[in-house]
Amino acid sequence: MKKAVLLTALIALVVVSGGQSSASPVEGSADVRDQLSVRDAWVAEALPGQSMTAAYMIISNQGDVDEELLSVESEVAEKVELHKMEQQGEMMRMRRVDSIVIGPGEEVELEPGGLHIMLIGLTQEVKEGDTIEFKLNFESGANLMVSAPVKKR
Amino acid sequence: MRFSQQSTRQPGRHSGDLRRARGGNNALVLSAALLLFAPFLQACGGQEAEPEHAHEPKAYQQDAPSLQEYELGGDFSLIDHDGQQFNLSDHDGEIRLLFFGYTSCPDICPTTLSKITRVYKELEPAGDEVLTLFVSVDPTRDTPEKLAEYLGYFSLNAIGLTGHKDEIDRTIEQYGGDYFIEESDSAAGPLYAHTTYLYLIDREGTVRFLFTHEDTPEWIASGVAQLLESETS
Repeated sequence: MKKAVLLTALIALVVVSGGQSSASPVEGSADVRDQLSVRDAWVAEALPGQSMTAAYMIISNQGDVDEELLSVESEVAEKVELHKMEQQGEMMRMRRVDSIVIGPGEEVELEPGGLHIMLIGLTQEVKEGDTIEFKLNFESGANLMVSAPVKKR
Repeated sequence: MRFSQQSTRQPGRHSGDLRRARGGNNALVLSAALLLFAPFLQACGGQEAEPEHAHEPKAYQQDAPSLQEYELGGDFSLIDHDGQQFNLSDHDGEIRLLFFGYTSCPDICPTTLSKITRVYKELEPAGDEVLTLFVSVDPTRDTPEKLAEYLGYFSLNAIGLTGHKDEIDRTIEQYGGDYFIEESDSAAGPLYAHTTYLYLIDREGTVRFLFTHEDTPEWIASGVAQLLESETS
C-alpha cells in the first residue's frame, strides 16, 4: 500500500517536473501555487559511520509577501531540522533555526557553510545516485514537494 | 577554562589578528605597497629602476598566498587513527595541512576535507607529498576506529588524530584555535563551534599560512606548491 502511494507520488513528480531532477510542484491555495519554487536541490552523500547528512537547495519566493519555511519532512531520516552555519569572529558556529524566511521576490540559498537542511538519524543508506524526496512546509500553508539527487561533496 | 557550554560566551578569545606572522605585518604591507608601485617606479626611473632581484621568480607574488613564518603552532603529541602515538615532529620532512574538526560535523568539516581532495588533484602528482592532519575536538565520539573509517571516505593522504581532551585543548590553543559546545536543542547531539583555519606547515614544522574556509582549492594549492617548489630544488 505504502509502496503504491510512493510510486504514484513519484510518477506525479516526474510528470509535473517533466523528468527534471529537482521537481517542485506546490500544493496549497491557488495564490501561492506559482510563487514558491526550488532549484539546484541536492543531498550530500552520507559519510561512513555517520547517521546524519545535509541537504541544500535554492528556494525562491516570487510572491508579494514573506514565506516562512517551518519544517521539512523526509522518509530517509528520523528527524529533519533547519540549521545555520555562521562565521562569528574566528569561530564557525552551527545552530538549529526555527524557520527560514524568504522575502517577497527573494531567494534563499541553502548551501555548504550556510543554511542547510539536516537529516538526522538516517533510516536508510544515502548514496550517490539515490534520489531523496522532501516535503517543505510553509507557514502560509503551502507545501513544496522536492526531489533531490544525492551527490558526493 | 578552555571548554565552555555557554553559547553566549564571546568566541574568538584570540581576537587579535591570528594571521600575524613573525616580524608583524609591516613587511607584508611594505611588499604589497612595493608591488603596487613597482610599475610606476619603473616607469619614472627608466632602466635605472630595474629591480635588484629581477631574476627571482615572481609567479606567486600576486595570485598566490604570500607565505610567512608564524610563531603559533609547533610540535604536539596525540593518538593517530591506528591508535598509535603521533608526534608532529615525526613527520618533519613532509609538507602538512592541519585542520581541527569532528566527524559528526555535518557541513564544514566534510566540505573542507572534500576541498583538500581537490587541492591534491590540483597538485598531482606531487599531492602525495602532502600529509593532511585532521585533529578531532570531539574525542568522546571520535575514536581512532571512527576516524579511520571517516577519513577512508576521502581520497587523501591523511591521518586522523584524537587523544585526551586536555591534550587536544593544548594543541588547539597552541595553534591559536578554539572550540566550544553549542547550547543546542538539536537532535543531532552536541554541535561544536570551532575555528576553521587550515594550517599550512612546512617540512621543518613551521606554520607558513592560515587558510580560511572561504579559500578556494586553487588558492590553497598555489600556497602548497610554493613549498613543494622551494624545498625540492
